[in-house]
Amino acid sequence: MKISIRHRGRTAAMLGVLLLAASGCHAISDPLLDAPQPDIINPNDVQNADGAEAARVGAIGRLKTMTAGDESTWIMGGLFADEWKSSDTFQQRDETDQRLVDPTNAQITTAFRFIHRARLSSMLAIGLLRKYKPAPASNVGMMFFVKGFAELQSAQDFCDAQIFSDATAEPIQYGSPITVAQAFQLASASFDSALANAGTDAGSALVNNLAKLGKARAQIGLKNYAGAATLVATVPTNFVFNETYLQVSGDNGIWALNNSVKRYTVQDSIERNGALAGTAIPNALPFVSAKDPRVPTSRPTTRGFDGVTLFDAQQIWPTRETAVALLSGVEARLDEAEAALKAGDVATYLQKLNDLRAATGANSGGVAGLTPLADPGTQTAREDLLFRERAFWNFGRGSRLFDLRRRIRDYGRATTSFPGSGAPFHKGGNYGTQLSLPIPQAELNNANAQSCDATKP
Amino acid sequence: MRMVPARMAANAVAFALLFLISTAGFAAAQGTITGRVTAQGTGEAILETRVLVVGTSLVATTGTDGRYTLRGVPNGAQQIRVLRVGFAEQKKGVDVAAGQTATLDFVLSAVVVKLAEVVTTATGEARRVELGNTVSNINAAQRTATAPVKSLADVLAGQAPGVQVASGSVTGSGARVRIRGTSSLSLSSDPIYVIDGVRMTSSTGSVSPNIFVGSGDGRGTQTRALDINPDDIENIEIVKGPSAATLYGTDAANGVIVITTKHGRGGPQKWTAFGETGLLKDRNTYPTAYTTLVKGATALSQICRLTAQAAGTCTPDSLRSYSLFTDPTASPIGSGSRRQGGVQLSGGSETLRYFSSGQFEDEIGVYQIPSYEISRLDTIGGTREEWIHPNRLSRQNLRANINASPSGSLDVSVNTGFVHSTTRIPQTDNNSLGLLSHAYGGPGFVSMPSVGYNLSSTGAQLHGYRASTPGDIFQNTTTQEINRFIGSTNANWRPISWLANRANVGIDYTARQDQQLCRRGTCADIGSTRLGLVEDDRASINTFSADVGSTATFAPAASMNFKTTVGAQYVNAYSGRNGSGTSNLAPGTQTVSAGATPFSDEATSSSRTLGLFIEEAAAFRDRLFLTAALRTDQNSAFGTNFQRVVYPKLSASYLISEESFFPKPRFLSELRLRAALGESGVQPGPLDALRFYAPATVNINAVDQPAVQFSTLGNSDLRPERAREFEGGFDARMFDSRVTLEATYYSKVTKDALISAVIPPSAGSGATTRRQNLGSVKNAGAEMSLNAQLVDRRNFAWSTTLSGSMNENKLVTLGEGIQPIVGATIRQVPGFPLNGYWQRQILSYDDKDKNGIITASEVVVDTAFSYIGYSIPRYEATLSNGIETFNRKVRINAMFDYKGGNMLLNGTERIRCQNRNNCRGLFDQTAPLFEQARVVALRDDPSRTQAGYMEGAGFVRFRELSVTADMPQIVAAHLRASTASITFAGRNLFKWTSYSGIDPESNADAGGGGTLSAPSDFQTSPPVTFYTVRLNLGF
Repeated sequence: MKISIRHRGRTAAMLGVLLLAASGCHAISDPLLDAPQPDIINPNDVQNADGAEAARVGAIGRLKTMTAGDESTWIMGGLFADEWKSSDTFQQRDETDQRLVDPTNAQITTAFRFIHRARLSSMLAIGLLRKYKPAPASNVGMMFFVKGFAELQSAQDFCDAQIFSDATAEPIQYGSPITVAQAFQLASASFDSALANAGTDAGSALVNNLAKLGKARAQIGLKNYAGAATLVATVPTNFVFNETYLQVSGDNGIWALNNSVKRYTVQDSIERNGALAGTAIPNALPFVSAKDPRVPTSRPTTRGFDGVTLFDAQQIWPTRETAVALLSGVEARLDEAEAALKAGDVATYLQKLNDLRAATGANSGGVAGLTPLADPGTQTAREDLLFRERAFWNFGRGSRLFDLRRRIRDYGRATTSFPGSGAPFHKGGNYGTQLSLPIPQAELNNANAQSCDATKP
Repeated sequence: MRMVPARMAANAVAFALLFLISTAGFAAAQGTITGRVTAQGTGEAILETRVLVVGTSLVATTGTDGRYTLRGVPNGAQQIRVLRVGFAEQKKGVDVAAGQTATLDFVLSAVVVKLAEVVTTATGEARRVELGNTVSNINAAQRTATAPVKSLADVLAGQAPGVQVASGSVTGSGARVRIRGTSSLSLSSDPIYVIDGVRMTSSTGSVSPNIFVGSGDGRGTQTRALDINPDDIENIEIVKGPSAATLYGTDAANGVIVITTKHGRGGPQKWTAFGETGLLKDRNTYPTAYTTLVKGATALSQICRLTAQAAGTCTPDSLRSYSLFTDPTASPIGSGSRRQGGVQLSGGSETLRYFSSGQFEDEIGVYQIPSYEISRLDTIGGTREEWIHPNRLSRQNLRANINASPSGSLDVSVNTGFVHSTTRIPQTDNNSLGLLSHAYGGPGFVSMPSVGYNLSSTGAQLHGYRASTPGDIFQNTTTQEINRFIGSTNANWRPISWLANRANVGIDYTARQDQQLCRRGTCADIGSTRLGLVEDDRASINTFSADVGSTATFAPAASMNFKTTVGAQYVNAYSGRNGSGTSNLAPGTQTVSAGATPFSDEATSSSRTLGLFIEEAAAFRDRLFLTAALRTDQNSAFGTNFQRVVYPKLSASYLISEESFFPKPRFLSELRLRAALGESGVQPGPLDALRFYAPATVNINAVDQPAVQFSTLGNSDLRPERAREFEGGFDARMFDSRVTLEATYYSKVTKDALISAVIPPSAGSGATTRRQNLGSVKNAGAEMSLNAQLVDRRNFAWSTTLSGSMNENKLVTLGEGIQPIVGATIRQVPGFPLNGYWQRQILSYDDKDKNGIITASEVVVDTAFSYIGYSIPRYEATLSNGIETFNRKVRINAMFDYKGGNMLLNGTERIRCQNRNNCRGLFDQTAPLFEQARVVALRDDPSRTQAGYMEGAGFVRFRELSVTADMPQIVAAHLRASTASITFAGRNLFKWTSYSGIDPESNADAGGGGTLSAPSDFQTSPPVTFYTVRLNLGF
């Protein structure tokens, strides 16, 4: 087979060329395969003081997103409760309004992610600040506040299988379910860390006030009303931490979703739509028809995004760049009023509420046009009044669902006291029976996670 | 270049060895063969015939006189084979003496079934019969001359079994091509494109994300593959799967579409020209809007549904109905038009041939501002042409191809193509600014001021539109401008008889400019749009590719032939985009610098692949052909822990009918068995492996500050998807080759499928998913093609082609611990098809109280989700008939297209029933009970479901009809031409379907893809009908 040998020689030679070329290609492959990716930031590039500062700012950005900067649980919780009504075409928003939230709901999943992004960003920033930019110390305290506020918001809105993980390093340490109460305790611990790391610099007062207000809310979630009141006693009524907006970097999300795009309309206690027009929505507050100056609204002739639902626009934040108060001293006085009511001190309870309603004064809430409240006479009515006052003072800022849940959980109200219970829904069918937001199905990709019963408060 | 000396030395050795191999044997004794190829019977010269010396790399092509010359032929007895489409292959022996010229003529007999005998493979050209896999071949030149095609998608549609083309419906919109099903969960399932030997950018969704609101909605997405002028294409070959595409490497697992543009032919200069004009008509039936209000209603929202009527909770006013589409003053749909013209020039000598073409195309879509709106706009400042005709495509192409054969051993070609296009596509489809979301969503009457429905927020008469009018919507002008150059240089050098070297180097460069403009005080009143906005995004998309290879052939005996090929391929794909825009424009302005709120962004994507391959092909007795090959790739997107992927391939082709033992029946002319097994891949996205932060701007205390936010986890073990495919089948020629039958079975399993595994939200990463090689997807199916020349007489001929395919798709696994990927209507669940429809099923409905109204208590809906059906067709079939009559001077072609086995979500009807409150099932007591039941299941049952709107989407469409007549010589002469023909053609002429939506091919996702991606008839444009007249002249 001389001929075959010749052929094998040629084949071998070709193979040799290939192998040698492969060897050569291996040498040149690095530059040939080195594809630049300028859009991204390598983790090594933030291992310095500038990187730590940018991470701190990024964490505050995440905090804004999980609150008033996007479609967060502030919005979705308010939709689930009675602050907002869906004037949208997406089923995910309609089912949230109807309290029939499927765990696959994309909007709820995204809102849940916002919370945990803020938490992770704060944790990463804490590590970077401590290592590369320890001063001013209050920056670290502020990051602990962000972490605590994320934990607090999760406890306020989601059902009883709270999950908190740690992805600051690989492998990710996935959390296991904890109760809502444990989540409030976790948040309290983070606020304690914020207070401990507040330092004594120019930013310390801000961090101290925020951490006290945050921890007080967590303590209220834990039914420690007196403790909460003690915490916020030193927070001045005129204290406010505003989240600010510029069009270039991002709009006020509440304004964008309500006033601009009209996916939500302000909810009222009287239905305006469909065959139900004129009927009452059980237990819903009259955020529109009350014409309360704390929740000013306007009624344009245009309909909502769906082209059908009649529309009411909030005017608390009338422009895309209107700042939103994350927390304020008003809440401190409300906490004190609640503690007083719990302690049976009706006079203090009423005084605290009326001080806030005064147009002026050291403890004024700063809104003109409110008249003093009279004692409604019964404990139940006083509680109702307290929660109504909280609802109007805190409208749209992420605490209405928290209040409605704890009315049932901590004040012994019936599950049917939740707005809309048992009534027809304006887009068909009836309101559902959920009382909290379900843990999204996406979280079940965490082997430790489990779903929870969203019909429990 | 960081090459170390040792490796430089290795390179030097390699190239030295290659040089030695290349030049070895130059001194060997050689001769020349020359001759002429003519047709049997007529004696006419046959040009463009390939003449090969069997067992060598030597090849020549006949000129216009039918002559060929083969130089450098080794001494001794040689076998010469000639191949030509339309003629029977022939092989003859000849003795070649050193320094002498042998003469060998061929007389070829015509065959009635005309199939290309030579196909292009990754290692060069090969005889079809030698391949173990099927390759579909489309004679594009013939289709464009006689069929109603206006894009590459039309050329491909219905021409190859297993190849599904979903075209966009709007003028200038894209198309989605799937070959043998959907293989990838997370990556593109699009095939790759090779044009004249180099990689061509073909991306779907090629438009700036800033320009159109929404992600993939609101318009037809552009597809870069459709930039190519179909009239420039000579031939298209479709390499269907990994078993055939192995040597195309990473990215070829979804198939390869190989395009060869036209080339010059030796002989006198030849001019051809054509002119075409056409009409676009929308012959679809659009839904009627229905409304029943509460008696005395004061708001449009005070509807009185059938269910409420049955419950007695409202007193209905009369049922009203209205269709703005049938109201000539209100309809946004009119007639479109198209014009097209082109000139082609070819000619040259045996050593230098040229082809050049120029063409223009102008198509105006069917959308228009209705007359009542023009009247309004005239009173407030007038209209603009781009508002009146918001959908328009204007395109110009230039091409110049040169082929040179400076010696018998060297061929060089240079191919250049340039396209300039301007496409104006309005926001027609599903988004808040989309026309159809307003046209499908209005009430069942023209206006009713008493309920607040007569004027939009801009003061325009709504006239049946939901909230915005066509005038306002079409004032939003969106334009894409393309300047694209594709150039390639191909060289084939055969220094010695047994060695052929080839090199293809080329670049595909696209400059893309996307613009959106709403002048101040114009456009629909959504958000702050009417303050004015302009966006101007400019992208450069650049693909460089180089492909080199050497093939050594050897014939150790007359009955054996071996061919060894080694090669390398490099692809560098880059795209960069700078976007800028502004809102709150000053009156009268339209530039980015004229607004109060400027913004900008940029994005870059870069991917590089380096591959090496070797192939050994063996032929035994010219009837058994075996091939084995390996390809290895490195890619910039692989994880740092994964360096290289290796893809193997094996194939066999056996002309069993040539064997003496084969009991060949008389009707059988030839039977070939074939089988192939191979692997290929799809590379990850450029950033999928990387862990990184993303930049952000955060406003604190009213000051914008730079920030970083953790974004993506990355995956250092990331590797490409890997698809292994087996295909087997047979090709039969029967009845004197009047009938050919091809049948193929394939089974393709994609392993290491990249799953966009959902990151649990509690991890807190910016990205919601992380690409992991976890999944496995299987596609299996069969393809068949029957081609028959039923009548072949001098004056009359009739040929027919029936092709069909079926595909079974299944997600085998998502990987351990990965939850099913769940969308609102589509899910990825192991054991079921990718992108299958899932919903809670409507178990039953019954009008128990016999009141003619279905209420919530009369419908039973499952509480659990279950699988509904495929979202893309499982079965497809095409029947084409060609008739030549009147002395074959009149040719008639007709094509019918069937697709079925799938469901389609009638999303338009769903939203009409769910949110728009204007579907029949809501209000009309005479509506079929099922229409009522699906409304109740959607809105009133606690287990709300869209299942009632997922409908069988099978259809048969009379896709194409064309009649081409050769005009008498006297007419041609009058036109100063030597030949003239005229073609009357129509496309999308009629359909038969039980689908209740507007059209089963209405497709909002024609250019899309991704993790949860399926065709969607959701407030989208249906296909329109084309009528064209084309005059072809030859000079």
